[in-house]
Amino acid sequence: MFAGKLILSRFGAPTAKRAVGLGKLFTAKRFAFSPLVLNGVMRRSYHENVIDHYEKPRNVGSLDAKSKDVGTGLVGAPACGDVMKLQIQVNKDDNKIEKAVFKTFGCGSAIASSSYATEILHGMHLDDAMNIKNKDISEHLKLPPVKLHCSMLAEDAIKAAVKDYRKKADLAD
Amino acid sequence: MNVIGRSRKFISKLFSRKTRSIQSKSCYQFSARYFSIGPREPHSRNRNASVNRVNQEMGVFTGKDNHTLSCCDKCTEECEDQFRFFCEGCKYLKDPSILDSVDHFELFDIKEDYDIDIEKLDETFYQLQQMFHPDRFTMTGDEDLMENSTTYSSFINNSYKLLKDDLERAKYILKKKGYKALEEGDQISDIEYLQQIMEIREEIESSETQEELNVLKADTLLKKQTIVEKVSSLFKAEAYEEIIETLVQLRYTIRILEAIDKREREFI
Repeated sequence: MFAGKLILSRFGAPTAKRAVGLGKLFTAKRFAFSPLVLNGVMRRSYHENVIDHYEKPRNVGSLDAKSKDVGTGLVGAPACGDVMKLQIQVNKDDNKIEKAVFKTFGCGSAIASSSYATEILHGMHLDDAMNIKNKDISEHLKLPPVKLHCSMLAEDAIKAAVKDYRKKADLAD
Repeated sequence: MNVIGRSRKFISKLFSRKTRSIQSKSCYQFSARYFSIGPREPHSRNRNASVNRVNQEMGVFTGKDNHTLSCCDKCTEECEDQFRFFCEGCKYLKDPSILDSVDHFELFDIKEDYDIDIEKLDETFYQLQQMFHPDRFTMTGDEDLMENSTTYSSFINNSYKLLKDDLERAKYILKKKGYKALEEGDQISDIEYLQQIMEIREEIESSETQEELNVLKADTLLKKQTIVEKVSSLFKAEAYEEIIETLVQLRYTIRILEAIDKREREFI
């Protein structure tokens, strides 16, 4: 409804009445929570942590998926058509993650979630990595409720990567 | 021509006078009770003569004679046909809340099927927009009416977009049949398919020339066409579970096309 109201200004003659109406809209209480109005389009601003990870994603890249000490997690969210690949390189002796990289094609929240995930995975023990919950990621990034599934995707990717590594390690033994 | 003729007929149905004898009477009685005989209610809006004249000349559907907007509240309850968006009695736009129960296919008077009559959809869309576009109601100077027409107009827009979209249309039909497709939190077990998608997305990202993209685009468009045809035949066979699986591919294919378009814009 609100979007409709805003679009209204793009059509039709910009009468004085409408201008007043729009002014009222923007100062109304329900719009008081930090939205940015750009070119007449409403944009809810994301938390700075999301924007930071989105603009400067950490640890983007790939590891050799065939290598024995690398675990690969490949997951997808059919609802939005996102695909996320997260890879970990594990030290065999102490089961700690030496390196974590990701590659995500999806929305900003999915990219930020996987970027932050690789950041916390560094130096982490595999058991601790399995205990990472999507809440840990979403709370740091302050994701809005509609984007919680992006952090869930990152959690799934971590679990898939650890499982993949363990499967390989078991086979090698 | 036939299509146009049929659509016109349908549009006129929206304002049909079938039940007018009963409806308008009750409308009139209601408003007369409030505005002609009794004292004026505080919420009544008696437009002055010049505005009324302008409205009549413009052919705007709004207050007529002594009719005022509040009589529509009465009509909404009594009107049997939920698709009559204008009040029978005074031709005033009804409260947009009736849109909640509107079926998108019925709105455009097309058969509920995955294969739709695009020509008719377009034609009806333009006609509906002609009637409900906010520009038509600017002259009335009635803010409620303008706001309502905006709601109607954007509903028609969204409805049109939904029906035109190969994916959304399928999801809508499935939803009506009680199936859920592409829900949040759904997962893909087909890792090989994800790998394919990953490779294509990487290829798009690393593409350097327009020619490379053109090849990819042609491929993907062909793929999309095949998937849409498959979905269509699955709908005919009523194989809904299979449709849900196929829609995942459609979703990813559409995303790939979007990524190609985005990459193309970066070249310019």
